[in-house]
Amino acid sequence: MIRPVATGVVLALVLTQQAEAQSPVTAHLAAQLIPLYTSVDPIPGGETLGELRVVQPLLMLHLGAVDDHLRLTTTLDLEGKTIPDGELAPGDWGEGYVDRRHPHTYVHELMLSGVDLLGDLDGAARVSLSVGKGFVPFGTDDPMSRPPVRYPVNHHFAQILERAVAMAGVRVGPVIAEGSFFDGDEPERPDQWPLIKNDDEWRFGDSWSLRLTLLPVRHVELQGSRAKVHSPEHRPGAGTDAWKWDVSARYEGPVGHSRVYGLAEWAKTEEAEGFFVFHSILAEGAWTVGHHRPYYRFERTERPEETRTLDPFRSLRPHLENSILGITRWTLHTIGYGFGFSLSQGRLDLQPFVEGTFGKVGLVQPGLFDPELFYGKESVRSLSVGVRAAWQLHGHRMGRYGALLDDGPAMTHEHHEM
Amino acid sequence: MIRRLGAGLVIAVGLACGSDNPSGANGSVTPESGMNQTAAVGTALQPFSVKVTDGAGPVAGVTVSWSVVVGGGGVAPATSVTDAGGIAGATATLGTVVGSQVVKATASGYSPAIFTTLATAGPAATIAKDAGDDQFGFTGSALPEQLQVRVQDQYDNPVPNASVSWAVAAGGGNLSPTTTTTNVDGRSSTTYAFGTTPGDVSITASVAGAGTVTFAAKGIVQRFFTILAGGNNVHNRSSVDLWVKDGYAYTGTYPGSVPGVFGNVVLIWQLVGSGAPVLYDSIITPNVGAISDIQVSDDGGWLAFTTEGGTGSGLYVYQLTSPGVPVFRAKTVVSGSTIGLHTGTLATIGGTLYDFAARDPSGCALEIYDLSQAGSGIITEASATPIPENYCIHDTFVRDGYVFVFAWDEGLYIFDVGNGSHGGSPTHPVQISHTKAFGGETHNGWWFWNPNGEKKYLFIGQEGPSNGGNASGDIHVVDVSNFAAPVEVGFYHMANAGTHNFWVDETNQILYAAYYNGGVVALDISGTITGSMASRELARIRPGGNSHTFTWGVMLYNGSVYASDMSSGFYQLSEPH
Repeated sequence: MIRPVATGVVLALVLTQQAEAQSPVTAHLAAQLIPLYTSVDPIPGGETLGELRVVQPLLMLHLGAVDDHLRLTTTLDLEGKTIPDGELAPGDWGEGYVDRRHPHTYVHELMLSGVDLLGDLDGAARVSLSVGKGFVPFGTDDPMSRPPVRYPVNHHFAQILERAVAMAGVRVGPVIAEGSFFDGDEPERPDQWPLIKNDDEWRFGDSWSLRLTLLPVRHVELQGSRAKVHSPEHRPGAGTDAWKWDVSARYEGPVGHSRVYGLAEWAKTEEAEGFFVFHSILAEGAWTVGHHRPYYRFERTERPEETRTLDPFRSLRPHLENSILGITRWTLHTIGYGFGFSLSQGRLDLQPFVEGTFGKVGLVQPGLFDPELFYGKESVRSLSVGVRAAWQLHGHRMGRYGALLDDGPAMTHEHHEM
Repeated sequence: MIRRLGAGLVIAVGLACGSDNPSGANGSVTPESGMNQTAAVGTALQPFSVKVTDGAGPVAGVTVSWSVVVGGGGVAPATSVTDAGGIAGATATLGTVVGSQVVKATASGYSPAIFTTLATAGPAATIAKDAGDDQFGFTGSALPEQLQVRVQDQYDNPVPNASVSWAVAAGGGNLSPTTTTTNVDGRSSTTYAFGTTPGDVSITASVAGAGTVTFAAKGIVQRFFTILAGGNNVHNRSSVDLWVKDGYAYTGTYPGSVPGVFGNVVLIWQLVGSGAPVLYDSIITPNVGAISDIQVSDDGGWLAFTTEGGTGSGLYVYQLTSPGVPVFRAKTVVSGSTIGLHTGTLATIGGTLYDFAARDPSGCALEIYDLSQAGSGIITEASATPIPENYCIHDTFVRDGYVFVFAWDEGLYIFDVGNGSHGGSPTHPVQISHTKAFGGETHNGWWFWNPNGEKKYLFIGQEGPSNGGNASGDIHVVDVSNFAAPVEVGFYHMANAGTHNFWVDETNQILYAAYYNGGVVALDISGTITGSMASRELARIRPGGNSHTFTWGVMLYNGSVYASDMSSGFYQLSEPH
C-alpha cells in the first residue's frame, strides 16, 4: 500500500511545482470499432463456424495539463457488451477463454502520468511516474494498435494489461528504462477491477516488471522486458508464478513513398518453477502505399491446454490444481489487405479489410490432450472480412505512458482547449 | 578444535600477563617436572614441580598457588611452599573433555609457570547406531546406506582407533569388512549385502568394553505387477476415480479430447472369472463436466459420487439394491460454487452415513452431508467448515471419528467429527490441528493402521504440476502420533513423475500409489519409516506403456490391484509377485 500512496504523493507534489506555468488543459477524444464477419475451420469438434461481431469498440479520452506534464489516459472498452462470449480466433486463449479471444474489461486504461517531472533539474533526462489501471511496462504494443485485426496467440505472453500499476520511467537520449509494481491477478470478467488486497495479503505490489527500450536510430525501437507475475490465473493468489521474458525489434517509418511497419518478437514464460515453459516467436509487417495496406504475420507459439467446461470455448476458472492437459504449438500465418480512406476532414479513418489465417496445431509432447482428435484435423483456417473504423486515432500506440510518451501533447493531431 | 584454540589463547594471555610482572626480570617460577604430559580424560597426572628463583638463586619459603586455567579437572594442593631448593609441587587430575588442559603456578612477585597437558579419550565405554538402521533393500543387493556406529568413552568423548567387530546375527547376507576402526570422530561403518533369502536381518556391531548394538534391515524381493485384464476400454473420455465392491467396479470419467463428450459418465464393470472387468452398465449425469470422486459405502448399500464443471455439479447418491444395480435416490447441487465438489468420502459416524465433501471455489469448505434420508430423496448439510481460498480441499480421509483434510498449500487439517476426543461431531467438527507443510500441494492421504495396532503414520500425496505427459510430487510420510503436531519423517520420490491417489493393504503393509505418468507403484510400509523410502519399492508398472500411462487411482480388491488410467482405461493387475 505504501508504494501507490507514495507514488501518488510524489506525483502530486512535483506537479504542484510544475503547475506554476498554468497552461490550459488539452483534451483529445478518439474512438474505434471493427464490425467483422469471421469464419473458422475448425472449431472444437471439427465443425466450421461463422460469426458477425463488433470487436475492439473503444472510446478514449486523453487529457493533458500543466504543459502536458500531467497526462490522463482513459480507454473504455465495450467488448463486454459486443463480444461477451469472446471473439472467434483459433489458438487464442486466456482469462478462461480458449479458441476465442476474451473480452477486455470495460475500463481498459485509466492512467495518470507525470511526465518530465524534474524539468531542467535533471538536464536532458525525462523522469516520469504513472499510476492507475492499465498496461504494465512489459513486452510489445497491444495488438489493437497493430495492423492485423486478429490477436496473436502470444497475447498473454507478450503483454500484461488491465492491472493496477505504479510505474516509474526515465528517458535519457535514446534509452528508456521503466519499472513497475502491480497486482498479478488477471481479470476474470469485463466488469472486474484488479484485486488490490485479498484478506490480509496485498495483491497490489506482488508482481513487478522491467523494460528497457533503445531507440538507436529514428523509426527503430529495440526492447527487452522481464517480469514476475504472481498467480495470474488464481485471483486470491494461490496460483503459481509466471516469469516472463520478451524481446523485440520494431520499425515504423517511411520507405520511399510508402510507410512500412515491422515487428520481430521472441517471448518466453515459465510457470511452476520452470515445470511449464512456453515459447513464442512472432514476426509481422505492413506496407502502406496510398490507400493500400497489405500485411502479414507469422507466429509460432505454445499454449497450455486446460480442462474445458461444458462450453468447449471455455476452461475451468480458476484451475483446481497446477495441472494442464498438455502443451500445443500453434504455427500460424496471417495475411491481410486493407484499403484505407478518410472522411470528415480526415478525422474518420475507414479501412475495409480482408484477413485470412492458416496454419497448423501440434503437440509439444504427448499428453492427455490430442489436438487432432479435438479439432478433427491439424490444419487451421480462418477468414475475416470487416471494416476498421477509427475516429481521431492516427498512429496511437496503446499502453504507453510516462517516459514512453512522445514530446508532443496527449495523442496526435487535434486537441481542444477546455 | 575450538577448545584447542581457546587453550592457546589463554596461554598467550597468561604469558603476556607474566611479562608484565615488574619483578619478572629478577624472579620467576619455572617448571621443573611434569610438563607436556598426555593422558586419558579423568585420570591423575604425574606430579608437577616448579622452581622459584631470583637473581641470587633458588628461594625457599615461597608460597606457590596452583590453578587450572583451561580444560577442567583439578589440581591439589591449591598452594604449596618451596623447599630449600626452591622446589614446590602439586598433582593435577584431567577433566572429562578431550583437549588441552593448562595449569598455572604463580607466586607473588614472580613470573608464573604454565603446564600444558593433552587429555585424550578414555577407553570405549558405549557404542551407538549412527546411521543405516531400519533399511530395506532388495535381496542380492547391498543396502542403500552403510551401517555406521559411534563409539564413546564414559564421558561421551568420541573414541578413535577403536576396533569394531561386525557380524550377521540373523538372516544371512554378507558384511564387508567385518572389522573396522573408528575414525577421529569415533565413527566407523561397513557395508551389508543381502543374501538370496528375503526377510528380516539382524547385524551386530561390537566393541570390547563398550557393548553391542544391533541393526535391523529387511530384504525384499523385487517384484512385478502383471496386467491380468482390461486396458484401452474407456473411449473418448479419461478414466479417473474408481471403487470396487461386491464383484463390481465403478469408475468415473473426465472429458477427453473429443469436444462435446463430457466426463459425465459412471461406468459400471462386472468382475468376471478371476476378476476381469467387463463393462456392465453406466450412469449418465446431465449438466456435469466430470465425475470427480466415487465410492461405495462399507455395507455395500450406497454409491455416491461428486461432480464438477457444470450446472448440475454436486453430490449424487444411488442405492445399490443389488451389487452393480444402482438406483438414483438423491442429489444436491452446489450453489454458489463455480465448479462443484472435488471429492467426497463416505463414512458412518454414530450409525449415520455421511459424505465428507470438498467444495470447490468459490466458498471453499469441508461440506459434511447427512445421507440418512437419502433413500427419501433428501440430502442434508450437516455442516460446512470454511477453508481458505488456497485452491481449496482436494481430498479427505475419514477414520475412527476423525477427518483428515488435505487442503493444497493450506496443508493438513485434522478434525474430530465424532471420535469424542475433542467433542466434535459431523454437525460441529472440532479442529485439532492445522499444519502447513509436506511440500505444499497437499492432495490426498491415508492414515495407516498396521497389524500391530500402531496408528503412527499418515501418508500424504503431493500433487505437483503436471502437463498430461509428465507430472511431479512426492509421497510424504507424516508421524501423527500426536495429532496436535504432525511431523514429516519420510518420503518417496519418483523421478519425473508425480503421485496421485493411494490404497493401502494394511494386512500386508503395502502402499499402492497411483503415480500418473509413473503408473502404479507398491511400497513396503512395515516397520519404522525414516528418510527416503526408495529402497522400499516393491514393484511398479506403467499399464499403458511409456507414452499412454497417466494413472489416476488404484485399489486392492479380492487379490487383484485395480487401476484407473486417464490415458489407457481400467485395468486388473496382479498383486506384486
